[in-house]
Amino acid sequence: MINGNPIVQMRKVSKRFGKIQALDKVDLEIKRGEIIGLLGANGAGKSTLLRCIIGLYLAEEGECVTFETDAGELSPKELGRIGYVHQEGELLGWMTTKQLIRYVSAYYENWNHELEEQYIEDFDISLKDRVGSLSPGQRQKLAILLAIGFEPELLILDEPASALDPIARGQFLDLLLEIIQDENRTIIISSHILSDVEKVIDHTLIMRKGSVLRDCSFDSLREEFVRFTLTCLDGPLPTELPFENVISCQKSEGRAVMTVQNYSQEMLEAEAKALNCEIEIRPLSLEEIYKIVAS
Amino acid sequence: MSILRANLKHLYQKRSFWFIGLFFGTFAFLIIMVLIEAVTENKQGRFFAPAILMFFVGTFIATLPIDVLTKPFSYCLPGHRKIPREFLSFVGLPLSFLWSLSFLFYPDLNIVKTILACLSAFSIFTTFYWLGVWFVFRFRNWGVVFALLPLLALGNMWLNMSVFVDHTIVENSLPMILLGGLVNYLAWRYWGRPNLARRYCGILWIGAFDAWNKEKMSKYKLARLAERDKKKPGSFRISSNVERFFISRIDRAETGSLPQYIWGALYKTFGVMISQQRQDCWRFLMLIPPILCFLCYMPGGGKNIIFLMPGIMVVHVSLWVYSSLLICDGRRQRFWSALTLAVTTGILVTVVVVLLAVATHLLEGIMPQLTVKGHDFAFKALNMKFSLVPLLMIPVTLTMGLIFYKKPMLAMLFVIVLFQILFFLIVFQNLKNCPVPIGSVHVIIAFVCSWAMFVAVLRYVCMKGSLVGQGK
Repeated sequence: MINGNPIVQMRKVSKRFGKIQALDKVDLEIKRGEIIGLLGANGAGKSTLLRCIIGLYLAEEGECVTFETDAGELSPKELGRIGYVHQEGELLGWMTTKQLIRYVSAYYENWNHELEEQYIEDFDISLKDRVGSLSPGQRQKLAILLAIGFEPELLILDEPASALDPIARGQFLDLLLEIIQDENRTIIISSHILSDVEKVIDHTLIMRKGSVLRDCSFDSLREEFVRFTLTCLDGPLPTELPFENVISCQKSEGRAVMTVQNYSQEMLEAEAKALNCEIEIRPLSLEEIYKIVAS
Repeated sequence: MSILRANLKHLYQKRSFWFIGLFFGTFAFLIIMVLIEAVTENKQGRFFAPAILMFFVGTFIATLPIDVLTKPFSYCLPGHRKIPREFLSFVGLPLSFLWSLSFLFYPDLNIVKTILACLSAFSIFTTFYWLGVWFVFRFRNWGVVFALLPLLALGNMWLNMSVFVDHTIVENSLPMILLGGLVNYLAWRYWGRPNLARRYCGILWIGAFDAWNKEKMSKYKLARLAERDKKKPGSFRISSNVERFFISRIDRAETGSLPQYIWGALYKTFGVMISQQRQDCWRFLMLIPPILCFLCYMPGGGKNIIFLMPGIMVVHVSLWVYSSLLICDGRRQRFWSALTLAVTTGILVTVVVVLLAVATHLLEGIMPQLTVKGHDFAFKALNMKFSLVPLLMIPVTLTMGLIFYKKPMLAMLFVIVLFQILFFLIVFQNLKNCPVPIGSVHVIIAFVCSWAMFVAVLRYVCMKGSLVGQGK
């Protein structure tokens, strides 16, 4: 359940690295309980945005408030409510897996040892190996455990599944689905594997060149773009089809496959009826929507 | 463009080689000056210098083909298998030939002997060159080349190698030519063998300038630790006692309190070091007496380098400021734990240096005077008043590490320049006519300034800086 009280608020946040404008006047509100998919091309500013939220980067302009505290002033009390999986899985390579888990867990009073044991078993994590000698996938699994072990209120996942094999990715998705059962937990997931992301998110945030392109619920985004197949019941289709906001159209004699924007199902059915056509409507996948929005 | 030509372009495409070119150019110029002096004044033992130069040329040139060989993409490059030997030969043989021409001016030789001496010199120079190349291919860390420098200096001092090799080149030309022929043949076979690419493909190899690449060095260290673990399971890990000691303190401290993070930082930095197994400690301790003897018998102020080295080495100490959110430490916690870590490091290093200085004072009375080839060498203790130098240098080095954390090479360069200035000041201090007066007031001011600068920069980075680099 989404609570109206935002846990992250960004107002006109800008951040620059030399000539690169990583964030450009970003306005954002993240409410408790939201599962947000953060999408964008490489260099769109996704990681910078996430790092600003937890105060690793400070905004040059604007204001970023997390848990009602300025992001730069976040203390262990607030940071102890945030789990963060870094896209490169930066961990302490010279410790063994077990030592690293013990080290990190020592900082959290609410560390869930049952969850830890379950996770280690499910994800087949070897406790004796040195972290530095783990494969990228194993290291990422460990990073995820360290981020969820204390059951954070805000879980930030920056490319969490990029190094996981298909089976581990499936397990990770199951885990996420389990985690999101807690209605008070907010998750921001940045990933290029959109087929996975769309299974869990309820909100989308699409970025391009440091700006937020779209900030809306996933459902409204899905309703905005529709693909349908129009089959004429008698003869060929007319040369001009009466649709506006057409994104793509592949037409053969008696058949057309079209992608349109801002059409409800009822409107499309009415148009099809007027053309004496049969219509088959199919919602677009997140990947397809993303390609349309980002292009 | 031929494959060889494409590879030869690396000589100028790699920017670090501009610096190397400049270095060797200066070195070659100095050698030419020495040779001119040797010819005009009829001196022996100077014609050996190009052999040393060729050895070091070999160590640097070898880094280029090995850099390509270790990259997996090169394994499947068509026609690349034989390139390393062609590349190495193309550079080494003409250079050796050019240097061997210096024997045309060797004093008091007839034409036949001059030609034979040139051929013999070519053989010796190529042998030294291939030796340098082999050395780099043999060891996975180029840094071991530095270990050869004191050996070379000692060898030349005690065995009078330069005169010996000079003499051998001229007087035993035929055997040297045969030896050179054999070495070149073996080198040609060795660097053209079919399994060369397979052997080096994907190997993490540390080149001449990789010491500044923190990420690569850290990977290399971990790979070495993993190898040691394989050979001797359990070695080089945090011992359970050390882990218990630190974790219990982190646990006991109030959640989110400063002590928790300070203990954490100390654990991350010193945990592995304290956990060293007894034999590793002994092995390390056994290295100290020969190093101390070498330094304390060294005439002049060169021995004081021992006070400066720790100040440089701490450039690799991580203060855990630039890291992602592994634990829930805020900016204030990072500042205090980093400061504690820096102070602890400074104190520990100073204590070690003081202990070494005290040890040399104790040994001064019992160590004998050595006489080598008519030169007397007395054991001189380290000057105690320089023991605080590390404490002065460490904050400066750490400050550079903080400022140039994305460009560790700049941090290192700055620290080396500082090191050289200090080194000369210390050497001058040992001379009677010291041009720069250094009093205790200056030292105290420098001490306060260096720490104040470090605290100010650390505070700025922790409170206002970006704590994770882009893509890191």
